[in-house]
Amino acid sequence: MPRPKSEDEKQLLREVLLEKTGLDPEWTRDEKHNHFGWLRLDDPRQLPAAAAALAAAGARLATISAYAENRRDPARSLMMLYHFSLGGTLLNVQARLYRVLEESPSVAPETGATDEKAASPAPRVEVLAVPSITPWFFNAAWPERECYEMYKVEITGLEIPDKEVEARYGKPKPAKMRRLFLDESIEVGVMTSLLPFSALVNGATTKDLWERVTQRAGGPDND
Amino acid sequence: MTNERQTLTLPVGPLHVALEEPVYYKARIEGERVRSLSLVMGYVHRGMEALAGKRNLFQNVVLTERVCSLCSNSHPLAYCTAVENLADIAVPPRAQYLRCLAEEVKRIASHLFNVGIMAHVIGYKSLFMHVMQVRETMQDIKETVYGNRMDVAANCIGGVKCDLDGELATFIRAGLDKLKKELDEIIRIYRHDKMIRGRTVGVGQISPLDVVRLGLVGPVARGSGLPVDVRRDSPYAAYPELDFPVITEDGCDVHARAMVRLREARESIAMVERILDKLPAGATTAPLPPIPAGEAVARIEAPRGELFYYLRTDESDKPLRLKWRVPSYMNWEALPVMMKDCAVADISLIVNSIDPCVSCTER
Repeated sequence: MPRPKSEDEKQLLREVLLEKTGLDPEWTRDEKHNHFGWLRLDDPRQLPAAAAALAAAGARLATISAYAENRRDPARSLMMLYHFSLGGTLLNVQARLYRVLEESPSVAPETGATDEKAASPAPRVEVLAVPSITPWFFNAAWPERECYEMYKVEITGLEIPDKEVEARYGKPKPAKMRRLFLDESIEVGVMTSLLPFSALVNGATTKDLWERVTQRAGGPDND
Repeated sequence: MTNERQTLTLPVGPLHVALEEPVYYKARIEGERVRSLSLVMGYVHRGMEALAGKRNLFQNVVLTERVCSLCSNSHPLAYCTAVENLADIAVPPRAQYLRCLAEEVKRIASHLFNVGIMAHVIGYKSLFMHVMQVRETMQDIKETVYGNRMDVAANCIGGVKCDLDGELATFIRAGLDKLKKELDEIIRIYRHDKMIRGRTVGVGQISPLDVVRLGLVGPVARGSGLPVDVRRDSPYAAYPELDFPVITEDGCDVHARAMVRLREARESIAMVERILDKLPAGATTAPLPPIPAGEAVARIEAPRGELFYYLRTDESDKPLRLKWRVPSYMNWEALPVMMKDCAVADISLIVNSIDPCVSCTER
């Protein structure tokens, strides 16, 4: 049976998103009439506007999932999916990543405008990035750090309004992101990189067995 | 007022802070008071989300059962619900009731474990022993119904694996009758005992405003008066048909969170009895259709709060992405707020009050 509260939540989310971003999510629901919205942002610069609208509507961030759309080419098919909840209604906002030149924070969270300096001629490393949503959702800090260390998604354009956050996380601009779980000795982006099995299980082996085999066979050591 | 020369960093952990799970708490202290706290984590990171991408959809039921010991029923339930949402599988009513039964049995055991550990941290060893002994009733029920003391292997995609007969139902009712009286006594002790109150009332406070700002979940949020409960907010399984209150306390402190857990355990006993009364007849699993390519999310209320699963599939039988966010993941960030200016001796008590699960958080 449809639940009035859940219909209201869905309607509120639709209205704020239409007003602030001009976008209307697709909606699905389960058999208990919980609504799930699916919003796709082709341009990640729309993300701050969407986050601001959702924060104003009283939504909370459930978590962020980074994933690769293509199994065979994970590093180049990354997507970010932000899961927001408002009561019993979930809104999933999918954002593509954009290419950014390192050392040039290019999106201001208030306006979502591109920084002209990104096109400067100096040769710089190209990285994949999304703007941070921590100005509106304090609890985005952990998932953003996790997306960074697991998928090498850089988080840019963060102007932290909160001294408390800054004291604890530092300024998470590109190359300054702090790890959440993984040790500094492990290169970021582990979920999209191929690791040798022996390295994964820390199975360093000696040549001892091979030497014994060749010795018994009267192999290269004896000639 | 802070004088830099008088502060020092006190390492707490990584081992054996309240629970035998490793997190390193760096507390900056001034005399006897904690001024700020930072966490260093990652000691038991196992890369389970990467493993999930290497296993097929059936094997992942077994994998998710092993994320955590105290919510070993919640993880596979949320995972199966995500698969069912994706493939439009309608779970039969009997299976929905049996899923709630497994959840509530687990909730009672989990909450009693946490409040028991609280007595242990306080140094009230006899109460700790007593609560753990009382909890054994639930362990016996799990072992008898599910064949193991952790109630793993209760769920499968499309339903449940363990059915109940009349004899088992009678056994559960007898256990709950015994537990009810003992639990009422335990609730009375926790509510009124001077030693418990002396150590926990007013300790580790967090305001409702901070709870909203940090997005906290479960008994931590409800202990600060916020009535958030996925079972009511976003109904699943048979919960819409089981009339139950969302339990809150207004103390915002360690004591309030313990009382929420105890009262919820008491309520869960009533819910299990209601489930046994209303248990419909019929099948316990739905036929399994081919799982299409697509994406789905699922949320359930684990003992510690909202558990979230995201599943994305492609043409393969292995998930393209299986991501989960456990309730503890949200609640860690409450610690620096709760521990602001607390006594050093209260650190482990406050850590325990959020009922943290490291193996869940780090996966």
